[in-house]
Amino acid sequence: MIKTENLTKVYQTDEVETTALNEVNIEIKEGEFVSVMGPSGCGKSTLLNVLGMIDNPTSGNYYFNGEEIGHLPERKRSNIRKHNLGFVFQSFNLIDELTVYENVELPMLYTKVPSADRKKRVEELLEGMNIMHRAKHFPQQLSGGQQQRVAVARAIVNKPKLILADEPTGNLDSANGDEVMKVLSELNATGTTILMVTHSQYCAEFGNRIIRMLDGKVVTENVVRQYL
Amino acid sequence: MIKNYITVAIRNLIKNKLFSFINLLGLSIGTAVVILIMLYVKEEWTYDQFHTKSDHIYRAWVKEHFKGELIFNSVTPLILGDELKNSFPEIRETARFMNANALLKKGAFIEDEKVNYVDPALLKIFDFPLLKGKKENVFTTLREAVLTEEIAEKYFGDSAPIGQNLSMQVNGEWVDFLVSGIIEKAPGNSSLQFQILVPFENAFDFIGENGRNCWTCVYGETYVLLDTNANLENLKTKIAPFIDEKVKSSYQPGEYIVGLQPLTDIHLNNAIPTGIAVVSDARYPYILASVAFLILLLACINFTILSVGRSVNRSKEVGIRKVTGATKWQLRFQFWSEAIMMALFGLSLGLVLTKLLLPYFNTIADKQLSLDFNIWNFSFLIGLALITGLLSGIYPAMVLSGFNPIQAIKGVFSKIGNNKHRVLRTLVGFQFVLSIFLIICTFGMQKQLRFLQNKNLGFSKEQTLIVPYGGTGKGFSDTWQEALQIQERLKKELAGKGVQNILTSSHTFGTQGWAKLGYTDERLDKFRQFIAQQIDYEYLDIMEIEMKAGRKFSKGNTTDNKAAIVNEAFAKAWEINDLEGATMPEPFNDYKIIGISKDFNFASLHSSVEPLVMVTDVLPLMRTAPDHNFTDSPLPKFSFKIKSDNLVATIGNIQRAWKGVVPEETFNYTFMDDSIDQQYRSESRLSEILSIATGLAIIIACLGLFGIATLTISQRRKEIGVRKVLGASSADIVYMLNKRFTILIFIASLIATPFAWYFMNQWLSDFAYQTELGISVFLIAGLLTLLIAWLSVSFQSIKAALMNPVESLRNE
Repeated sequence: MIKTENLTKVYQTDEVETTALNEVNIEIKEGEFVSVMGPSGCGKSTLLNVLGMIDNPTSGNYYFNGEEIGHLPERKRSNIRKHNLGFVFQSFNLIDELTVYENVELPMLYTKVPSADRKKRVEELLEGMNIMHRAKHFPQQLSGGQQQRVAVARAIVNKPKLILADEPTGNLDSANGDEVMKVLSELNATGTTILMVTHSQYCAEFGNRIIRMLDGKVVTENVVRQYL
Repeated sequence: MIKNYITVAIRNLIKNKLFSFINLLGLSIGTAVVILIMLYVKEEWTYDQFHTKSDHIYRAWVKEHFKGELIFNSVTPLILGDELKNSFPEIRETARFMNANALLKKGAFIEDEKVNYVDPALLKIFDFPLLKGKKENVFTTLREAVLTEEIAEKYFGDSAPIGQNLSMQVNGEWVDFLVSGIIEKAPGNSSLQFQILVPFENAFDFIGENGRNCWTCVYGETYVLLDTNANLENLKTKIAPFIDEKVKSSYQPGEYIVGLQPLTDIHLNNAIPTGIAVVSDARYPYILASVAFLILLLACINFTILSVGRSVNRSKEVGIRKVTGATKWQLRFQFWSEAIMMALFGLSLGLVLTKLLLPYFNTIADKQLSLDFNIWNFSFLIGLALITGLLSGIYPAMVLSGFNPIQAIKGVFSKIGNNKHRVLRTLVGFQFVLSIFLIICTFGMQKQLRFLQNKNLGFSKEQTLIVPYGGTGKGFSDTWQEALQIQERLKKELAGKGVQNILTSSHTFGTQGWAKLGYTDERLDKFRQFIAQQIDYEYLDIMEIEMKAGRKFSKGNTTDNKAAIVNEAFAKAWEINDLEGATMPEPFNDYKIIGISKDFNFASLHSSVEPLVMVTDVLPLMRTAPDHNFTDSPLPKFSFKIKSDNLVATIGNIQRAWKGVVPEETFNYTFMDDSIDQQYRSESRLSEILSIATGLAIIIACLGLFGIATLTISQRRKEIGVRKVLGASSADIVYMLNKRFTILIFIASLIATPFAWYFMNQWLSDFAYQTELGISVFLIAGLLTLLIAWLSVSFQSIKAALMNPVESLRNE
């Protein structure tokens, strides 16, 4: 599903040049649950952003489903993104002015899903996440765990092939964190590919493979368990 | 999707109450100003267009080159209309329209009224509907009158006016006029205004039969209706030789030109002399429209400034939307629709504001504007909201939508931040440039108006009450005799009752009209004109008009009824250097010139002083002059010089005395200084509207400033806290926060000054007498802006400076 060849990302400020990704070569197959670990500043999030098509690489190639997309214009990347990808962030990133229901519905508005289908799908997901009773609440009125469940629901509402999760449990206590990891594992079990950046070894082991990074490079890849 | 945008927009509005309030207030004030001024401008621009045939109606003008003098008139010979209609088939109708005053009587009630002498075709050419009576049935006989409802009610009360008689004084006799129709009052945007219409033939009672076929005398206006397919250019080329032929006994070909001015061009065309209708300055609607749009622009800039200031808060949403699949254009559409929605809210509030302000605005603008919801107005309002929204939304739409999603989510904006501050400074600076420009212009105009009001005009205008005397319908000479007797009786009645003196004159200062006499100077073979004024013996003394040479009139001197006093302008133009044996020029040389008065500004200060001749009996002068141009009646006017204490009681005394001496004559008084001020009415109206507009502009700019100060300070809270911990005093903090705005205002003043200076000089060039703008106007404008800006900013700065530093740091 994903293949990178010498993927490099350099950030240039006035005087300093920072290499966030240094010739990264990885491959992720459909149905995998891959965790990315490494110390702060090693390039994990940059990798996630580039693979998530919300940032473009400085050099190297990025193949998504066999197509080189690393250098496509924003409009085309946005189109691939909205139909194939779902994002989950550490800080949830829900829109404060929208209710739970509206936040989950949002991606379907951009993919022009008819109103009745949207309603059905949102309700189905909120039921599944056990937060239907909070549908009319605003994000600030929910606990962290609930907010992250809403964020996960939003990420999968368009049935993406790939979910990119950037420290999804980073802001949660262990009980809520477990709940989110359970949801992700269930999604993976139904065939969704997941790429997750995390600091926690415990969470990383929910995946079938762990990629370890240091200074913008992939240093090791451990297989936790064979994916099905 | 739209629903989603609207939801977010409304929730944002509610969440940021202060900024929503600033935006809404600014936009609604801006919108209200635009609506009010556009109503005004629309009326000015659509004058006379309500007539269905307005595109084919013209007013004739006459230009005569006569002995070196150019005489240009929109008042024409009475023969012109018929001659044109009978000779050119493309001219469908012509009608004459003349203004005059006449005494009207119903029972014991007598009043002087404005009467219009018109041809019946007037009702065919123009769309003035009859409320009672039929167009084909009115003006079938000579002594008929068509009245407006107002006049009908005044003379007939509740009883039906049609078929009743109303008496009008014609050459000293009361003549009955049968009321045959009631006509709708002409709308405010009609050049032709009337209240009593009578058939034109009645005018010959006082014009005399000579006026009927005379090509060199002008009396009324002539309106012409052309066929829909008539070729105007073609017609003009045919009229020229036709007129040459008609006037060949007095003029060479090309010396006497008749032209046609489109009806819809009359109101704003200063190039053609004012006829019966009031002509406005065509530049004023443009000036006012520009000011209105500048104010709206200020409100749009506020919206932009607050959007930029709050862009960090909105950036997370932008990032999330991008990540969930929004394209740049979808985001642009979202921000633009938000801005348009805001503009629509502003429009709704603006409409309420307009409704509330309209009566007040009508008083200032001297109009009867109303806000009707027709297609034109509706499209204009929607268009206005769209433009306002698009303009306000440019920055948020173009910039916010371009944010990189990761940076947007994280709120990292180092480069955007710098750029943002530049944009903010430029926008706030631009607002100040506009505000300072408007303040300078307002101050400048007010200074000029004050200058006009306070300028020593060369006579005493204060405490002078003017009452015109219409007479009992006898001839000019008899009316004057009557007036002089009444003057004496009033003097006796009012002795010791607060009146210092009573004067009579044919014209008073401050009126727009004069009696201009013209003659051909045989020696120079040149046509020359001067203004003639009849005054009484005491007039010059009491009005405190100073003499340059010679003496004033003296009652004891029996030859003074054939004596003239001229002003300096006359003496200069006619080269009268020595009064020894000086007489008026031929053919008026039986008048001796006994004195030269200093020039005084008897007419408006728009023009310099014209040659003036003052005599104690003007009739022989008028009889001798071959050419007359009366822009106001030369019938006597009384000037009551009153003591300044207890004005109300004195006016009451005069009124009672008047009732006793001339019970049949209405007591209509004006104050001379008021009439003089009226000469600058259009300028003072512009200045008044501009002052209000400037006030509103300042409010809007200050709202923006207050908002931006709030934002800046909230973003610099940590810095303020750290500075205070390190030892900065509250004054240091206030100084630091205010310094930037002060520099900005200084730069804005430098930019605004040359523009304002140029504009004011253009405006002042309309006056023959101009005030010095002086540096003070510019300095005060800058300082005032600074003061207002400091007040808006300091509230926030002082609050921030007084805050416990821990508060600022804890919030980080």
